[in-house]
Amino acid sequence: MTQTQPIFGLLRRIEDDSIRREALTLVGYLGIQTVQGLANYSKQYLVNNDITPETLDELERLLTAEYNLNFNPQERTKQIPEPTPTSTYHPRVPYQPRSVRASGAPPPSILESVPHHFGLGKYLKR
Amino acid sequence: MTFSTIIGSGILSKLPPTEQQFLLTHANNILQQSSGTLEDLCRNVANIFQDKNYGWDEAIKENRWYRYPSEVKQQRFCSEEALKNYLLLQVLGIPVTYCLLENYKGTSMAHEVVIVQNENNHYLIDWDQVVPITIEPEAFILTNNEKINFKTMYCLPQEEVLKRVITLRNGERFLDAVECEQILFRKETPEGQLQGSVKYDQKLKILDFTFVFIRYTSGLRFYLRHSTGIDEENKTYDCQEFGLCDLKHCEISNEIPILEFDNGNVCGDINTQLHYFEYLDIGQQRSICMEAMYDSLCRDHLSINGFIAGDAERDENITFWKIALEQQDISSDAKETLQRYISIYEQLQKVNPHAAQRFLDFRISQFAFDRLFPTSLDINEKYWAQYETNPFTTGLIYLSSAMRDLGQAFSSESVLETSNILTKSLCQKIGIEFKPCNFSELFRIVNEFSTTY
Repeated sequence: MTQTQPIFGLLRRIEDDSIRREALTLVGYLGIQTVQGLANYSKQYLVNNDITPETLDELERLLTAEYNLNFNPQERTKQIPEPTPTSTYHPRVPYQPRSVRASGAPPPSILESVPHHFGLGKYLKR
Repeated sequence: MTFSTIIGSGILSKLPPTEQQFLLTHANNILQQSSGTLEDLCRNVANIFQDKNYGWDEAIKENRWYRYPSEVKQQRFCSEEALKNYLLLQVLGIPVTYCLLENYKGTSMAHEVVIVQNENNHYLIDWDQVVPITIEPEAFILTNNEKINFKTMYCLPQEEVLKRVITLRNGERFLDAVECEQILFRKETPEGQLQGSVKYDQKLKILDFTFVFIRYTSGLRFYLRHSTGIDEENKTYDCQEFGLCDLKHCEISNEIPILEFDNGNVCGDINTQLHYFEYLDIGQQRSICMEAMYDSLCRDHLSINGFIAGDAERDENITFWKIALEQQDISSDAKETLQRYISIYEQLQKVNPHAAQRFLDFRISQFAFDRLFPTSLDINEKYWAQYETNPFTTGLIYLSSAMRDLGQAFSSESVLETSNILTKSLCQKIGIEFKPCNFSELFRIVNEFSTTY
């Protein structure tokens, strides 16, 4: 199995603020979760979709230098599922549309349980 | 860059432009601030709304009953908090599951949280808490073996998470929400913390608004409840109730009713009802005696030595208690209490210094009183006896001061505004004329009664 790396690790390495923001937009739009998922795209596909040359260069540089990966040399016209981290968590109860509740429990109050304790006079600093 | 031509399936492609910008700005800041571990990223995500209060009533007043993160102003409730966490984590490319928990911590309330998975480990993000957990069918187990139990966990797919915002935000489905208890707000008022909640029983057609007030000084808790519904003759009725209560996980766990009103009239004999003092446990009785005395001495903000402390005295006592905790000869009960007092004081200091001072001054005064009039729990001590042998007067003095603080809490905030909106909306929805929330008669009668004595 190919080991996958979370995409946020790559995003954090981008030093330029505007490039990082553009890369985040790309990740958020395409739903990319892993570095390998990003490398599945071709440069041409990203160019065709308005990504700026500076961001593309930075992403390509990081893929190569930090992860030993390259953009997909083949043209991609649609998304393919990216490898995702192995999951051991399977929801036990499927979502039931009836339970659409805006709810409910607030964070605990600091004052929720104040003990009533008397006879502690000797612990007074006077 | 617009990405208008990208046919993406990512979360950003499904959100309004304002929301996209909000999330991108915060995600970008988080990436810069974080140390880079998954846990730290989650913590930064969880802290985005740490300056906000808890509550649902801001959303209701704005007539946007479930809001996107960018729409939140001063207050958010758990669904909005969980939605913010879910969206931000998705934008950061972190796989996340949105979970709806029914009967959270054994209460009647539902709760919403998100879970992040990292290989075989899971992190629970619940308010400002980011903790590793093991997931069981009816509980999350924390690493210290603490159990967060619930009855059912629903995991919402992405499309449902987003669909719910649209479906719930116009308020048409608010009935779904109020069928289980919903906390409307938690507000800091001059003398205590006020929490408001709503619950509608669709079967019995009863609408309840409950307000719990916790005094900063003793920490004693009062409730005021307004219930309105339809009687057997199909007439609308309203009842008000006032009493002392306990809280467990923000929900009332035990009630000691003191006064009950039915359609504006006191139920039964008010004299009998006001004899609540003898039904309290000894700890509560002592707290009431102490607070009644403390209140009478501090009412005019008189700086009486031992009752209103200065900063230096507060610091000295906290240090003294911390030293005491290290000593061997201290009982485990006393240790636990001191530890709890220190913890409450330090937590309150961060969020409400006035409340922290009120709390600590009361404890310092109580300790001073304990030293002057040492007593066991045997009620034989003379000074305590003067309160305990006149329970009716003590109870009434106390009630009057509690009502004064409650009245202040109600008048200083638009406490009843949301309950009026909800009552009106419910009336329109189901065609029943529920009575609006009103405690003025209750306040008036207690005030009148207490000035007579």
